[in-house]
Amino acid sequence: MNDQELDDILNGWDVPPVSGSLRENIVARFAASLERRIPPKRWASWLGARNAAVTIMCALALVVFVNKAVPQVRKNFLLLHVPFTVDSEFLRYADDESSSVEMYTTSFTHDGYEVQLSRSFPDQPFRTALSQVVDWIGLLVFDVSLPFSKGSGKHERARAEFIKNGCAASGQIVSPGEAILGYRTVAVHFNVPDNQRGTLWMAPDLSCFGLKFTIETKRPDGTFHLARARRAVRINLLP
Amino acid sequence: MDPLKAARNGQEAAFLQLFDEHHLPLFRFAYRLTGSVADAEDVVQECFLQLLRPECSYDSRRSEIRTYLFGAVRNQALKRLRRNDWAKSGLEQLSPSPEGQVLRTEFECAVARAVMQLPETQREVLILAHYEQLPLAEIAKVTGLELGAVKSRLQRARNGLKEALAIYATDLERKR
Repeated sequence: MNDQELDDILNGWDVPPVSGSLRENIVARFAASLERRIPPKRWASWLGARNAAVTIMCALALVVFVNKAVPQVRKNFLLLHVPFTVDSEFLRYADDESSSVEMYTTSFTHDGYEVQLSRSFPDQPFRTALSQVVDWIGLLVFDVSLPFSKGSGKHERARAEFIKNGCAASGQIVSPGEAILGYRTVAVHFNVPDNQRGTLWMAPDLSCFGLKFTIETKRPDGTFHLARARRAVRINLLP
Repeated sequence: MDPLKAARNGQEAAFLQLFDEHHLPLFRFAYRLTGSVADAEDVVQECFLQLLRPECSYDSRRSEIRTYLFGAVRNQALKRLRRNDWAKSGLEQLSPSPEGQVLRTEFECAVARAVMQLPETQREVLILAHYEQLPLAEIAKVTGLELGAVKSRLQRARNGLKEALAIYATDLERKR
């Protein structure tokens, strides 16, 4: 067989067409990714491996101090006006549908980004204290850097449009969701890799904050079962 | 403005521009690596969303976005193949099931199976070179190989396929 013959034979393998839902799914996940981006984590990753040891040492030294400092920081945001914060719990579900809480968080939304105020992990006091240190430092850096992080205005305009459209990106269809803690929501569905699917419930009256999020996993028989969820348990309106 | 920068700033239109420009060749590549439409679509989705993440390592000064995306698809697809049972994930889906027979001829299945039975290192090079028509230097960047290694793997892959598909060359000759 010569090269030309091989090329002709190889060309006999066609690829099936891309399903129409791929574009829809990616649009939905793009919108959801805007919600989930958390600026303080950028700063955390900016710290590099070289500084890790120093960071850990500092963090340990701050563990005791911070447990007292965090509530104060929550009350007195230096530069940022926060209209509300949301307490959430993150759950993991077993095959028998029993659930356990993995993490509690308190967060708020700023300009489309969800910013963590604090996290705690049931039965893990050391991890909780360490996370609070990281969150506290992240919040402080985020707050101090606000005056220097003014964007071009395009993101703000896109964000305002997103909220005005009832938490829907242009061309995206959202369906009415359940009321959560007295707030109406809209639901967005999207596929997640590894035979999973996700649903995000956003509250238009809370700047499209994601009050609930579920990940379901496909069973071999084709049905889905709940694997993980995030659920808002309290909304704290601040003066 | 650079579409990627605009997409990272939340502009959906810029993100879709990137997606529309690149997703088809990436889907074809992922499909031919995994043998599954669902896996290929998941991989492509994941790679585009990866671009938006702050920790994304893409640097426009070092490579073209197309090269980066092909590399990302390659890594994700191979990770999937290693995690799943190889036989189930790839080859079985290419077998002509009753419904599949309507869409896929035996010949097409034979070609697909022959390509998928190549060693992983040869398969990816062959797909990029033959089906996606990427220059060898770009394939070297996507796979992280030296140019010489790309050439030799491509040659080995083609030789292997000539042997595996020899029977079809006779058919081809007859049709001509």
